[in-house]
Amino acid sequence: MEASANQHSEEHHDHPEWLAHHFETPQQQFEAGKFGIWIFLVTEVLFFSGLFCAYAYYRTHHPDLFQYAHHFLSTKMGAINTVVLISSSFTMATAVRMAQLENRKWLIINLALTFVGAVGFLVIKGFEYAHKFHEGLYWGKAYNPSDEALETIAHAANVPVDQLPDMHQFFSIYYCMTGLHGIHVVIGMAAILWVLVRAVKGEFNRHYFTAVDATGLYWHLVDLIWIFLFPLMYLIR
Amino acid sequence: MHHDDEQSGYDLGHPMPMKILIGVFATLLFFTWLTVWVADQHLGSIDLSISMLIATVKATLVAVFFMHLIHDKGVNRIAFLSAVIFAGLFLAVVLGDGVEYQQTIIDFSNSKP
Repeated sequence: MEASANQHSEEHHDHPEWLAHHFETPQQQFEAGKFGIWIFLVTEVLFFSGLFCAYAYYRTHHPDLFQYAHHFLSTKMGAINTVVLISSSFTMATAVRMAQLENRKWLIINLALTFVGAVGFLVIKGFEYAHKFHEGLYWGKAYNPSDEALETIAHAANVPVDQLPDMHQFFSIYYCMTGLHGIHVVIGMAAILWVLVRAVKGEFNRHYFTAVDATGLYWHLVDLIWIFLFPLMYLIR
Repeated sequence: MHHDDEQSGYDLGHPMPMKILIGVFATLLFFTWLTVWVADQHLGSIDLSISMLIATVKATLVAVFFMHLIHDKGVNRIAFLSAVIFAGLFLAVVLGDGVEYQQTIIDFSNSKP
């Protein structure tokens, strides 16, 4: 900490390594970066909103489809994944705090925990997808459910098997929304790994932690999207 | 407080207190449990509204505290809020318009020879 303070006064005309030369102050650099990431998050919200509109449109037109199809999804798996993602959001928010406090050890621990949470989320999602593929529950024309799967659903929904509608549209929406969300988790993991490596190298200080903050904001948005996806997919009753 | 923190150009926001982070985390877990519990009460048509209300409260907590919007600059708040408002507008139009013309379509189909 002493070192960075000295560095600042000595290199005032030059500038510290972490301050890009086109910025006058660390604050200006930080705020420009933050504004950029917020604008990016705006575009993220808007393009996800298209999928939420598709969901709303199909659910109002074909409520029966959603009423039956939700039996294919496990509320338990969805709820566990919600807890995993919320926990990783908490460790990410803590990581940003640790970066601001220049607590490198706990910054590294929290980033590592966030990464573990992301891996856990994808593993659980992977099990869910694998189970659905096994039962032939694909999107669009590939939708070809096994007799067993249909019988289980008919039993759960208390209707004869031959009265079940073709539920491929539900699964098209399900895979589009959770799949795109999953891709965001993978990109988030890459970003977390990147700041983790930089944290290990000791590249952050209380005047320069924009990368940790930006990765955190992105990761929280991934959490935000899931907070809405969970009840819309798993809690249909 | 470090000397150079007091200089202008070095104000990079304040660390969110651990108490608030833990409190928000616990509240989010509680709301997750609550939304699952409410779904299993079979409240009929209002359960979607309730689950969306709970999700909105959770999302607000994440945005305000985990994403530091409470301490962030106004321009960032306005940017994010405008995205949310537009997403809401798109949804409102889809939901409002979606079934509005269904009877017209049925009548049209029936009138065709």
